[in-house]
Amino acid sequence: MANIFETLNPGTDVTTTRTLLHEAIPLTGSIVSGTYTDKTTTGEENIKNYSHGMFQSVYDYPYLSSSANHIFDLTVGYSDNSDLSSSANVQNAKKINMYNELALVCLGTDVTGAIEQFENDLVIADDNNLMKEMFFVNFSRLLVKDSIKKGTFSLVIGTGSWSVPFGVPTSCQTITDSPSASATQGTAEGQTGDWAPLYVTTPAYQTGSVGAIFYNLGIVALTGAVFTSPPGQGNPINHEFLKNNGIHQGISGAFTNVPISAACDGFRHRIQNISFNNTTEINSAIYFCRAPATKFNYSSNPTYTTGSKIRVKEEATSMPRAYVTTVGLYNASNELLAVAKLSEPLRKDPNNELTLRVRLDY
Amino acid sequence: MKTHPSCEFFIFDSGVYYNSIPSTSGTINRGADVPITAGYVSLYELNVDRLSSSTGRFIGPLGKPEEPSVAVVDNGLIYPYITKDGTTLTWRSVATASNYATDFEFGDVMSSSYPMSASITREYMAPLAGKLITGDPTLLPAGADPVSDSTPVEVFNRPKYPHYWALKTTLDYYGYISEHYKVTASVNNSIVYKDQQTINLLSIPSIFYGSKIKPGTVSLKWYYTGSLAGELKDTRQNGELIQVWSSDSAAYNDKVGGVVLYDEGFVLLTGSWALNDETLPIVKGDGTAYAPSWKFFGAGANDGVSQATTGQNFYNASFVLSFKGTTEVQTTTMFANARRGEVNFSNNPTYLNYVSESAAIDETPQQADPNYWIITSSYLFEEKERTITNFGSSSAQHYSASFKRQVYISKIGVYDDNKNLIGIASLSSPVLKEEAQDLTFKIKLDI
Repeated sequence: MANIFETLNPGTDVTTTRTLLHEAIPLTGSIVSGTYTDKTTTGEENIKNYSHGMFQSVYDYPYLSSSANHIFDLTVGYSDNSDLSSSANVQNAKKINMYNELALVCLGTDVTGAIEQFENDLVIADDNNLMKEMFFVNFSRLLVKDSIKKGTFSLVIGTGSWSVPFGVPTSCQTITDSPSASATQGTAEGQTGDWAPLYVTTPAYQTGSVGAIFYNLGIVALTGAVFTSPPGQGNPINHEFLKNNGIHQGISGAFTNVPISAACDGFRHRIQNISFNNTTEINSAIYFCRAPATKFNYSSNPTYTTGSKIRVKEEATSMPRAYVTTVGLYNASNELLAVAKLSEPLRKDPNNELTLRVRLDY
Repeated sequence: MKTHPSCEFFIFDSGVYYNSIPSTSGTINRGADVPITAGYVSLYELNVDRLSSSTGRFIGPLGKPEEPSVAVVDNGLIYPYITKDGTTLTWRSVATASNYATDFEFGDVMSSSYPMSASITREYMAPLAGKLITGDPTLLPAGADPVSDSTPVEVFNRPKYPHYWALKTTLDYYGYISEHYKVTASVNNSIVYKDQQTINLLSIPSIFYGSKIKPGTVSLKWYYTGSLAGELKDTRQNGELIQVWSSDSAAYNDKVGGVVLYDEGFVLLTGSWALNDETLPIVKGDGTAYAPSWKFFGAGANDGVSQATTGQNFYNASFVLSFKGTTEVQTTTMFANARRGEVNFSNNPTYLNYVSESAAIDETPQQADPNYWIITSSYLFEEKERTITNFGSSSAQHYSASFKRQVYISKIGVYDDNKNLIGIASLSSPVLKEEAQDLTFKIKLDI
């Protein structure tokens, strides 16, 4: 228990700071597709499909193992005013629901309460350039942490045939949020955090964005039109987007003729590489604890004295001396709130002053 | 709320196995353990079954060509990094192995690596554990005794086993609990100097036990060729590890073979009596065969001791260290009261009997039936009186019970001062609440 206190002046002795800690997150295609193929039953061991059939979860290892980590969820959906929307479609209502749910979470509602729709520009209120058929990648918090770092997202997809999706160099398209990837740069502040359009890096195809990334939510929305040729233009013409029950489906068929899980399988099959950097914000309070020259030169440690003499003094005429090992932070009622330990004791005597910088992370 | 997770380490042939979890080979990273070697816990749960490789890619902006240090390299693994800035935050390894001020410029990327892991470690301190580099067992030499004049005196004044020295104050502190903790102890009318003993130090990271090891749960078992040779337990819950069983050294039962520091996660073993008549090589770099004893417990637990560094028959020894930890979960307890006369209505749509939303002005007996649908050209909207569904249980078969006002409570909402719903507690099965009943629900929220 301390019996001498040095009052902290909030104006001069206390400050706050914020540090950004990042992680580099590479996800290769071999992690999300093809490695943990279960040869005895259907599917892959690191892919979890649910009975509700509304999305599929991807793990980095067979999910029945305790070592496995959930890395992202995949789903597809389309707007109820999409040309592809039809009651005859497989899981029609669920695909509309998924689109609406993701749009609500990512974009919110307009002034009338109607759910906004995805657009390939930064202005969502004007309902122009709508993206009505979408793939959604919802990354786990384990990877995203506080947010995806802006300008670092990259997704390489194969737009070739089902059998050789990455067959020729032109089949691989890099989709990124990097400002250099697009002439129309920038991000927007949405109702649920910052977001930005995604562009194909091939300059000839940069007529519009092919999706959006929501940094704080960790969600990537990608239009189905990216799998047309050239990306982002024209009607879906790829007739071999996926293979379900032995039958090839084009990109339109992926939305209409097969369940969500099968469309997700097709999308995973075409992921060659995903990478981004995440950000963790570390907020800190810094206390400058000052020991003036004439204070803190004595210790209340019971071993400080021996035979009524200060143990660390060689000569009786020497100045008092103490070794600082700990800094206690007290509240206004002199109640000990926190303790900071020094890595090694610091000598303190009337000839010197100490300022100890105590950082409290939270 | 306190919980006590069980921990068991099996040590055999210089391998450690935690809670009987075997090694699992990866699919991508074949031959390597997933996510890390058995006996360790992965602290970040990342990079499961991955290979580090040179992809030639970068994540995020590349930066200027002449400044490759600001680029984040894609090496196939997840790893953390910090950009040097004004906060001067850095990795511990950067601060010790590099010169933070001159080796990095502002904007440079300083990276670390995953997975980070933790496991138990053993340190065998040969006799005179408290000696200095000089060999002096007790005091710092006043004068210099360096081998060469160029070597600073302080180098020779350092403790040979600094981990033990760092614990000496703590050991003396717990001397009020048991004399056996003390560095200089008076035991059975004789003075025992830990500085002069052989000390076997087992270090247990706190991730395994939480805030402290639960007293009374520590058990150490020494196996020789698979048969139990002896067992130590802290039966008195005061940190003393007492031999409770032995196959061949029963005379030493009830003797103290070491102490455990519950809060700090250390086990110090000093018992040097033979547990049986066998011998085996068990000291690193020493081919001599020793009798099994507590000072050799845990040999091979991340201490460099193996068959190669000792000799044949080292694998005759195996050990089990088990204990329970203590983790404290902060819990908020709330009492939700449903008093008599209150909470007696449900918003569930099926709580009220169905009635047509439209009704004609002139009601016929049929129209009075709330389930009777009327189709006519003239309507008058009037909210009909609706009856509460009578779901009381009759004691007589085929007869409905008399109406009683009652509800089934299935969920409890927790609201803040502004009536924002901040939590929902769901009951495992609905609870019947009758008009005249008082009910109190106890809700626990783990923080």
